[in-house]
Amino acid sequence: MVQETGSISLPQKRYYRQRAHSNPIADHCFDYPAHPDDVDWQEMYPNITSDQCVEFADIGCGYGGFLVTLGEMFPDRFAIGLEIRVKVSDYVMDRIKALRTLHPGKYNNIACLRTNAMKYLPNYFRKAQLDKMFFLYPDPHFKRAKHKWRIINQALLSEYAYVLRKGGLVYTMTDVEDLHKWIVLHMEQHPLYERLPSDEEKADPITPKLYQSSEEGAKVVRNKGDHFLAIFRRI
Amino acid sequence: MTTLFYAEPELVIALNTKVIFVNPNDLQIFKEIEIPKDLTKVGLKAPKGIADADGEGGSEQSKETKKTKEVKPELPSILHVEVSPDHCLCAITTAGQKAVLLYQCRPEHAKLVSVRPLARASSALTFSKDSKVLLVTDKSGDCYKYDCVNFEEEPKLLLGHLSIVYDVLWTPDSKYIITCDRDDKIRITNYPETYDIHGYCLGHKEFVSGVAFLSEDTIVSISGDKTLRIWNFISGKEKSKIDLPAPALRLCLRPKSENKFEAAVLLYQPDESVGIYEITNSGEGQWLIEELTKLNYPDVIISNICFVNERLYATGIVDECFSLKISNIADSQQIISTDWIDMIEERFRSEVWKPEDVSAWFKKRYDNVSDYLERKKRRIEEKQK
Ligand SMILES: C[S@@+](CC[C@H](N)C(=O)[O-])C[C@H]1O[C@@H](n2cnc3c(N)ncnc32)[C@H](O)[C@@H]1O
Repeated sequence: MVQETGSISLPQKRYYRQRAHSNPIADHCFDYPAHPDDVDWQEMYPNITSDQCVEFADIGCGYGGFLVTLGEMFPDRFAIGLEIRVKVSDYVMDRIKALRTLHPGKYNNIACLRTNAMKYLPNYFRKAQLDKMFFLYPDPHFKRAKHKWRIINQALLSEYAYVLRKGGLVYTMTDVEDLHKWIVLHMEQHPLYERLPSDEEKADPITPKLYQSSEEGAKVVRNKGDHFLAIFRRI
Repeated sequence: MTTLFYAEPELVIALNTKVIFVNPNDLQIFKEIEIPKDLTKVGLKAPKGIADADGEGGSEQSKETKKTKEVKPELPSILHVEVSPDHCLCAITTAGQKAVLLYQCRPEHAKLVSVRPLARASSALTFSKDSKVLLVTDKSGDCYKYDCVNFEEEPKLLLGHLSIVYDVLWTPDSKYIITCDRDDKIRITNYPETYDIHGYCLGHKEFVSGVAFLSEDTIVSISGDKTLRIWNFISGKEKSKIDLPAPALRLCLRPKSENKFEAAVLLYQPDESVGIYEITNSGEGQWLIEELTKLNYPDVIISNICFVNERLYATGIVDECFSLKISNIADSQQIISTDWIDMIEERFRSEVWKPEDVSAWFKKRYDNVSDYLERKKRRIEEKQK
């Protein structure tokens, strides 16, 4: 039996399972900063200096598999995972803590925040702060009445464009073809994004990781399902 | 819902199905609008353009929802009223049968010239300075543009918040739309490129219920967090702040002199329900805020306030009935006869009016975290035994 406290083993997911969806529009008990100035980044990233900032955001990071990969691929950039579910975000925080203990000096560039990414991005990030945003296997919310819950929708794309710098990239991946079409439609309609041509999408070193690192992605690979990738540039 | 505002020289009061335009000094009625009982008879159609509003670019699914989008047979009742800066148009939004109505105004009468669908109950209105465009914000946080030159043109979605937008401003040069919401935010959106957010004024810790212009780059805001703040909305910087005795629900502002404004703030459930503040621009972006006085309205639930020079007009509810209160801020003002006030109240005597439950504006903070953490702690302790 693995112990959780004082031990250096990774936390077990079975203790952190939670109902798949929570309503992103309803009120939750979030403590969020009123202004990006109020965020204590040092509390999340022990080595961050005042002239450094978070540049990558994994929106709806789930259990954090991809976030960990991101931290390994870009050791000198800071990445954050945003997750709305209490247990799931707590799992990621414990996972990062355990990784830091197991590998001293590493994984100090990743952190996870429990927050509603649909509501509070401007509370955490300044205009044009982010360089990359990831939307990996977002909840599909099939019913039309729930389309406003979709993490990619017309109104929210403007908010993402606000926190993204010009030239920054938005990575989207899903196994639901309808959702993929929806994402591409709305991104292409939005004047501040353009889709990368498919050879550029393929050439991006992050692309292969999108299939395996995230828990959802790995599931799809196991089930031999289809993946739909699209990358967009903030213009 | 009532509406109350001053569109010089008229004081505009609305409740349920009626709008009256009165002389604020003697309360003589200039004109009156009674909205039609059935808006489908004057051309209200189901909102087809608006059906796409939530970003549904005409997908297969839109067909199945079409049939549910018929105009309901409910009676329309007035939500908001606004008069265009050139005084030629009066815009009215309605609940029940949801619509945006435009009336062409003459000194003595008004003619219905446009009836367009409204997607969701409105929350605020404003005209462009040239009176050619009307902005309508709604309960779900969307902001629509209604063309007021071409009355037939379909409403267009300009921007969206994730919670109700309580107030909207549009700079006189039309370059920025300023909206404030229940999620503590004031958002500055570029126009006409409304997909491009200029910035936010962040600092409030509860809903932002009202905003008003102090200068071409400065606004004042009020919030449920019991503060009134002044912002440079171009830079997003907070310039000044004052604590209020209670959460703030409504704001109205009047210029006093070149560098001075008076703000009236409707407060949530205190004994003295309206605070009067003086805001002074002391030069170089410095703003001073000072409390002048508090007004007390015992036994009335005030819902709207507005300045007419040195008087504050307030509408409210007494026993589900409309009530008008007029307070003189400066002693020099002539007292308005209660007979005249009775006459106005009489106009609305037959209307039942239930107060809005404002407590719903505050966020419900249910705590799903400490419970979870408590259980986790116990689990870990158990294992260590
Ligand atoms: C299907 S999972 C995918 C998780 C992860 N990206 C992966 O690929 O394994 C979607 C995640 O997004 C989270 N989520 C949904 N809406 C969110 C929001 N508004 N803010 C933050 N996270 C959200 C959900 O709780 C869920 O964990």
